[in-house]
Amino acid sequence: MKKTFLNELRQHLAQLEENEREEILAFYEERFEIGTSYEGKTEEEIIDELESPAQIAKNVLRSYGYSMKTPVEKGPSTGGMVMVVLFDVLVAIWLVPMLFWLAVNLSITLGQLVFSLPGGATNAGQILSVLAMLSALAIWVLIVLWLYDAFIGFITWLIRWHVRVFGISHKSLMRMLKKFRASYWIKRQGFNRPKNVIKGIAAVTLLVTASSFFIVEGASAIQTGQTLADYEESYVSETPIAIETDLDTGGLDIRRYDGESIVVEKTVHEEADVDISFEDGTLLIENAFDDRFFTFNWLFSLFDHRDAKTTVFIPESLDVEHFDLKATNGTIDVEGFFSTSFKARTSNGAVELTDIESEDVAANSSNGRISLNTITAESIEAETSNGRISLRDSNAETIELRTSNGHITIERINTAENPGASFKTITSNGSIEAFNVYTSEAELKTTNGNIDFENEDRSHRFTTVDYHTTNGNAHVDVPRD
Amino acid sequence: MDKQLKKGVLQLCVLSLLSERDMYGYQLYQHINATLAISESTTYPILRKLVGKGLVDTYLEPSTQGPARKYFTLSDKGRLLQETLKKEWQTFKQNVDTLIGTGGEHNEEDIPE
Repeated sequence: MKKTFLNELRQHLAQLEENEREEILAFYEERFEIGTSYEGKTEEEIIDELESPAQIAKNVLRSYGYSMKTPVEKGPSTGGMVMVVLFDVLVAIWLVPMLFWLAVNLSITLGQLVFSLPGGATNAGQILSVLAMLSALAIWVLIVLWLYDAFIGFITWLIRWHVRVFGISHKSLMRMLKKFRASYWIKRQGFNRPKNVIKGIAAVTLLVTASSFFIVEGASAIQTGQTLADYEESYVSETPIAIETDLDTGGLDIRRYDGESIVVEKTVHEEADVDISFEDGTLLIENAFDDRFFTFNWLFSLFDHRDAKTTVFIPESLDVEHFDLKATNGTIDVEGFFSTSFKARTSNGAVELTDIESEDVAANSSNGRISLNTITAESIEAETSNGRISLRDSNAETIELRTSNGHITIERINTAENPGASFKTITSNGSIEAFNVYTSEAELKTTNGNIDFENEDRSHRFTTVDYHTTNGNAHVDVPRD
Repeated sequence: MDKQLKKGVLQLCVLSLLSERDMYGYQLYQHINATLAISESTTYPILRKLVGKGLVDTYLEPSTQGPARKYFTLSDKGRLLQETLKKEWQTFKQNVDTLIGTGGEHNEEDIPE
């Protein structure tokens, strides 16, 4: 009876270290001795007096600071042992070295990343790069410590599982392993506060780091963008042609030259190549959309449009009937053509047209200026959102120039003898200057800016002059009916 | 009752009992249990801890009626601690009594608003 009781208690106290356990058992052994020898009780009576072995173990373990969450083991189980051995042979044998390797490698890789930071960030400013460097370093240290602790934690878990299944006393081993943890050491050395400070600094400057990473990325994109590739393709045509472009990166120049064939020169980044085709009299130049889409070239296009360029040379003898030009991040520059229709639009770049004769000329940009010189057309339309517009030395029946944030300059248009029908200049934040513009009707409107309108030849009379500015001075000095 | 407080008080009880005379484990438990009604299984770990801290020493005393018994006796260190703890307890008890006795009324002049 006494033996069963003590054995049961021993099993319930398996978590304790051996000497701790034996001492508690000795108490109870003594308890039995005293009870039987001095008080004349039977073992059964004593057991009735005592709490159950499970209850005793619970109280004892609690007073030793053991967690009661883990159920008290009923000794080693064969199934558990098989599992452990299988895990060791099949998983732990590679998982442990792999985790160690991973922790070390990640630390090294991150370290390399950190130490490579300032090189690219110099143009972002010395302070920013130093700050980014320091915060990245702090984050790196924390990550390395965390990785190290995670590894130790895994080893601890593994060992704990082993000893639990095999029923070995392991408290001191666990305590020893705990001491290997960086977090234990940091706590023990009273470095918790500095650690939190590092954490705080790291968190605050994380933003700076992230943004500087982008700057570094941008810088490297520009750098890789400098390795440009040049191509040249040429086509021969006898009959008038049309030119269509749809470019995402780079500027577009179209020029006359003294030669026999159409020549397309492209200076592009390899990751944003340009396709050129010439079919049925149409010269088509465009970016390979699929490539761009899948390789995220749009990201690079923000940086590399500055130096990428496509230049088209057209023989003097060859007519170009239609222009339909589109560029997204680049300037469109065309000079010296006679055509039926002319359209040019870009988003982040200027449109510059010189010596163009066409029925209609339309120029569009979102964030760039439009400058038109010596244009002869039935109608001229120019529209941009954030840029100025200038139209000079041109002839046109109807003119419409619109911008939201920019000046409009229009001068030397038509003659007093040969006036056009109408011109409209509309802007929101910018002044309008019109000199020597001869049409029947005129409309000049702005919200924040001055209006200046004057013609030298006083013989020409306007039928209507409509001008309006809300916050600016208007000086309109032209003869009208 | 607060766990830490209870532990501390029990420790003081054990030390105090041993300051009067040496006892063996069960005897000690019986003495405490006569007035405090605690479980046996919480007494033994306390004893063991006191031994571990060097506050209590043990010796074996042969008995005429049965096997030798393990007696517990206070060390000098234990005696010193017992005296300190006892004073602390008395002050504490007095303060608590004052609080309880006055029903929470205290010397208003000492308390900042």
